[in-house]
Amino acid sequence: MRFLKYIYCFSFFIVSSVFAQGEEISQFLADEGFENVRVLTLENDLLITYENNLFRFQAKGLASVIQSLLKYDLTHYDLVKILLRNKDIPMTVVSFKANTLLRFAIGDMPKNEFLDSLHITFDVDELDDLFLSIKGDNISFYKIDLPVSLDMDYLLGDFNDGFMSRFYLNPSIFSTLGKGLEFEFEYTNIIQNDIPGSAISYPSILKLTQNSRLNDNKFLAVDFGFLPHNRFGFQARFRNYLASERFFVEFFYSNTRRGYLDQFWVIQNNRDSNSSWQVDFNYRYNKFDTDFRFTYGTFLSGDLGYKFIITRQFNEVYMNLFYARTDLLSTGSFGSREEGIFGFSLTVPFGQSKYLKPKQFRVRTGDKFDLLYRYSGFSFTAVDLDKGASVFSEIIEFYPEIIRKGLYKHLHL
Amino acid sequence: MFSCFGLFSQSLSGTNGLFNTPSAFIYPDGNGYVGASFLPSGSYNYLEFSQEHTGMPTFFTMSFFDRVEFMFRYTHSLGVEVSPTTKYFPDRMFTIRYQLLKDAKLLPNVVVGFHDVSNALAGSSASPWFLDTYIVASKELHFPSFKVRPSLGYGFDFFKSSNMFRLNGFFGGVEIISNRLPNLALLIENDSRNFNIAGKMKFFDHLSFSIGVLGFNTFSGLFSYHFNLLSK
Repeated sequence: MRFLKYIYCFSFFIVSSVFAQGEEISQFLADEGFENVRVLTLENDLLITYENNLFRFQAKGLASVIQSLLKYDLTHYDLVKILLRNKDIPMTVVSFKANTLLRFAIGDMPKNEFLDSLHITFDVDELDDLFLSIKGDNISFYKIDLPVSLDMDYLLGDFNDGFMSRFYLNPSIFSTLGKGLEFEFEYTNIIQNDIPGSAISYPSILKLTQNSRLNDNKFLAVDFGFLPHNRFGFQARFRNYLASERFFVEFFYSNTRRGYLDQFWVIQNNRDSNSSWQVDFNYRYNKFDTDFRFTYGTFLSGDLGYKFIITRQFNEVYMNLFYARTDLLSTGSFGSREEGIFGFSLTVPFGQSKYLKPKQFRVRTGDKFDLLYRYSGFSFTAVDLDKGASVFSEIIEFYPEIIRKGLYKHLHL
Repeated sequence: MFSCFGLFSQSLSGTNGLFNTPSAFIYPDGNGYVGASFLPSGSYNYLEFSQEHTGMPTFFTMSFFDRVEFMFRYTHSLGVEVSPTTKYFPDRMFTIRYQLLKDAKLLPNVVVGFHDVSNALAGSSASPWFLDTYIVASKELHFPSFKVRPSLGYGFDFFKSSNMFRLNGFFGGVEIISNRLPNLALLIENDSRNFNIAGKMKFFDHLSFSIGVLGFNTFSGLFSYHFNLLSK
């Protein structure tokens, strides 16, 4: 009987210390600046979920979390499962055996081998359900994030001025109001301009976006408000991943009228209600982190046609090469109604790679800089419709293979 | 796979090559170059300015998938003002090269190249001043104290869209690198019109310079900066 009492006390000690350790890990990650942190132990598994708005690149945030885990005694655990979130929506699960991390940490296992042993998946539903009843630490809701980004428009090919440019320093406000619900405001702020034509600094985006993850890797984002390109109304994007990140189909629909807030914050709108729609088919070749995307539908000017884009991703750098053909009688079309255009674009990371801790109010740099080159700069053919920020904006960073390759670069023990 | 030296073999056009001719080497995925070269007046063809003004192609070249090379280039005629009077504007062009065959024991690398093909591929109205379509084979041969990289190609007007193509018929040459001076190379080539000789040098792992004589009578050269987006 006495022996059983010892066993009971010992077990209680082990269980309570493991439980306490879970709380410690949760508190530590929250103190570090990670948000929506929840930690629990289930049988012998350590389950963690968090949202990273601290590091610009998600893989770098995960590397930091994994490094933090080594401060704790992981020998009690069999598996460690980490669920990454975005706007409190579950995105990707990374799991590994606790002892493989320990072996990697002491140099008993090469980094390649450890990273190959990671199980990274887009299937999150089962694990996310386990966190539903747990109160999170450092909740991200109702905080105000104020990124300031640098943007540029330019025009080439004019004999009077070979290079005309317009630079912007655009402050934005983002605030997550609930699970997947985000408020976005952007002020277009011109700081230099020698492109002819009217251009004003004005509040260009004021919208609410409800982002959702449905079952079986389906995502939905619905926006309402003053949208990019002076549109007022709503738009919706639905994306269905059919083979993890390798293939998806996306549907986009918007119904808007021309409406915006002018430089005096006075609402300007008219009744020219119109709709846009697009269907995307995207195949991702993981070996080279390359997307092959075919888009059919209407573009910014209402022109109907297709666009084929190849995007090569190099960690945080994206290079796009595109060809499009749409039906549009546009300036520079030389009288043809249907015309093709090709070009390329480049997206490079911008500003800090690690931001300040997300407190109630935070100012930070924007996270990227885009440069677009269209072969016919005066043509309106197949100009992309800026759909604004949503869960889709950073979803590539949560792709399993991008996480794995990102860890290869950023995980140093 | 490339030797370290091979990673800076830009030609005057901005693609991988000898001095004024392309080769069949493609850089590994994620490698890129930005640079500029200098073309003596009379050695290139662009509007009426090329006869009196030095040309300066400025290029951005990237390799993808270990097999594809993409280049975007602006070619300037130095000293000509962009204005309604001159009607001059720098020429822009895209180039795509694809490696059909990779170096094997007996086989060479084989590349097909399409320079300045926006007109032919996308119906652009711009004149293809630097159109080139060709097939070229290259191989790296190792000897005890040096290595040799011969290239042989054939240029032809694949699209039948212009008579301005530069590589007209057979071209080829050889790059010789001493093992004792791996950052230096000697180039001798025929660009289908002239024989050229040049030297290349690499500095600080990222910078490379070439200087040579086109047709054994006019100097030309280039410099470029190398970067690797997949560096660990």
